[in-house]
Amino acid sequence: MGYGVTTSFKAGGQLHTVKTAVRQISVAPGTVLKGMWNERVYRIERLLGRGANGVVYLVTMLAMEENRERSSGSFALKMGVDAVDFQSEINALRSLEHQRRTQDGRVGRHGARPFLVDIDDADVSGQRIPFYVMRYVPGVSLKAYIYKNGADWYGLVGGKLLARLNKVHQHGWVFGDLKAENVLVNDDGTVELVDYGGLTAMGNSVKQFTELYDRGYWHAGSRSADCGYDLFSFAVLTIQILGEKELRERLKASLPQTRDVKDLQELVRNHPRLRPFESWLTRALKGAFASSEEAYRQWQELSHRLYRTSKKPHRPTPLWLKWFFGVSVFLLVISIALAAWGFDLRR
Amino acid sequence: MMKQILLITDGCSNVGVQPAVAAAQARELGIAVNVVGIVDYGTIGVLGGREIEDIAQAGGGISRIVQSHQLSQTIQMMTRKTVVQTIHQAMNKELRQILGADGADSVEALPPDQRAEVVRVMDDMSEQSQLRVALLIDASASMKPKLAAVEEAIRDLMLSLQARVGKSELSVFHFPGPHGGEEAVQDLEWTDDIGRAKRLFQRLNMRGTTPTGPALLKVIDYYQYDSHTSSSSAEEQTYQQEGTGTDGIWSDYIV
Repeated sequence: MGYGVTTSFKAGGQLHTVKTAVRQISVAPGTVLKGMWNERVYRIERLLGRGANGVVYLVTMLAMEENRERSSGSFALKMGVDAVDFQSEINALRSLEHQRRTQDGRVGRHGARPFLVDIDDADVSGQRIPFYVMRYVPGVSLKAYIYKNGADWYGLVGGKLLARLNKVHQHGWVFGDLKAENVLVNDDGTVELVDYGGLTAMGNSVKQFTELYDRGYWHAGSRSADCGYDLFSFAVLTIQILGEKELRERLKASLPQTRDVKDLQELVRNHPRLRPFESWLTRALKGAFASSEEAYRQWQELSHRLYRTSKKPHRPTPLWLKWFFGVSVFLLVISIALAAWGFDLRR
Repeated sequence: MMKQILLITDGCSNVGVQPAVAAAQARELGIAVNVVGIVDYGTIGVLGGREIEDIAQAGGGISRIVQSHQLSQTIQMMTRKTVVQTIHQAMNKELRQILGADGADSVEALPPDQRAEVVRVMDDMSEQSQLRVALLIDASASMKPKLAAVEEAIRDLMLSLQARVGKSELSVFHFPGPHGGEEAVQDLEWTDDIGRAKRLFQRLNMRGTTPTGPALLKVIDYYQYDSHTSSSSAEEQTYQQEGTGTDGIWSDYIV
């Protein structure tokens, strides 16, 4: 079964009678952390984000004796809220990384830079907090990227994201909690997945998910970890990014009992920016892809074709033109009516 | 096997034994009791909130007060957290026994490598252990507008349970009974079939009283009873008919 869910709608003013006190970790910038076991030292620079399992900070690793080159490096440091959940996330990440190294083999490519840098505990105001340090990925969220650069980029960036997911799947894992906030796009268009709290071994129940992107939430299948699960989330993500307003309206109108994946398919069909992707999205929503390899290939073919067909840009008629037209018609009708009455202007 | 009771209510009990006492009894028998207070308009009241907290504490579980649209994710999270917590507690106990007074006394205190190994085992256990969750739904009159959300949440929980590797079953009760005689009525016996979790409460006769304590005891008895005999008895089937039977035609008679 799932490990955690995060809802996309945060209800304001909700009452919480919390028995197992949820610890809110907060560390001020400038604080220096020292690992209890590995004794590496980090300076907190700023908050990068909060996930379901913990908080991520941008840190600088401070002078290390043998590893000179790293001493000035920037990293992302994630502190865990719950030691056991957090360790479980680390375990999954470690085995994924191990498989990456042994299966992808050769070093030298930029991707071979280790993702996990350090795993340790720190003393934060009297509490022992587990943390891990990973490679820092600068970039903006997928949503912000598309908003800034335009929907034309989605075919390309989406393809890169699918390639990432495909890699994860090849190693026998499912990302699980795929959502707009968990995808970062670099300036050069590279795509990175962040927050691996949902990383689940295939066949197990998805550890962590967000309702909106969850296959079960849309009555479209199980919560077992398989490639189709991530592909479904990817489809919802696409719909959310290219048709956010329409999706929100539809969510508002639907009841949980009647919520259906057909609503999503219909939305795709009737949306100018989503329609080009309809064939792919429908298959992903139905779980019809045999593998994520196939899904990736088809996406690439589709987006290549899209970029090469000159589509007529769909521009709505400006409002002033509509008014203008209306007024002209009105005047025309009046003139005809007057003419029909035999009204003579010269008289 | 992991056993849990999940109580969903919207107010204070007003009949019979104190629910916290019943919950403490459940805990004795190795059944964890979680409680969700569900409020849509207004608040649950100081007393109601207090009672919910007390029941969960006595039952060794978790309590939350949420709005009905948060119900699905809340009970999903609670069920899972309680599984992990149960394993965690057992593991800490083992560690104290193995490592003695001068060793680490909890999973958190272990050095990273050992912790990684222990948590890996714990993860396997929480994924593979057998699990039974009995849902106990307050069906007093004020709950009526929330029952659709409750039903959706049950479906959602069932979906999560199905995804587990270990055998997971769910059973549903509501209280009070239709004639005031019964403390709780069974709507669904142990099942892992999501199809059966539909239209559970369609013909409910909603009444005013809230005998939370007695209802809890009833569910505990069901757990106990069920561990003695594996097949369900005629007695339980009559509960089921009372819950869902229609016009004397026992259309929902399920063997």
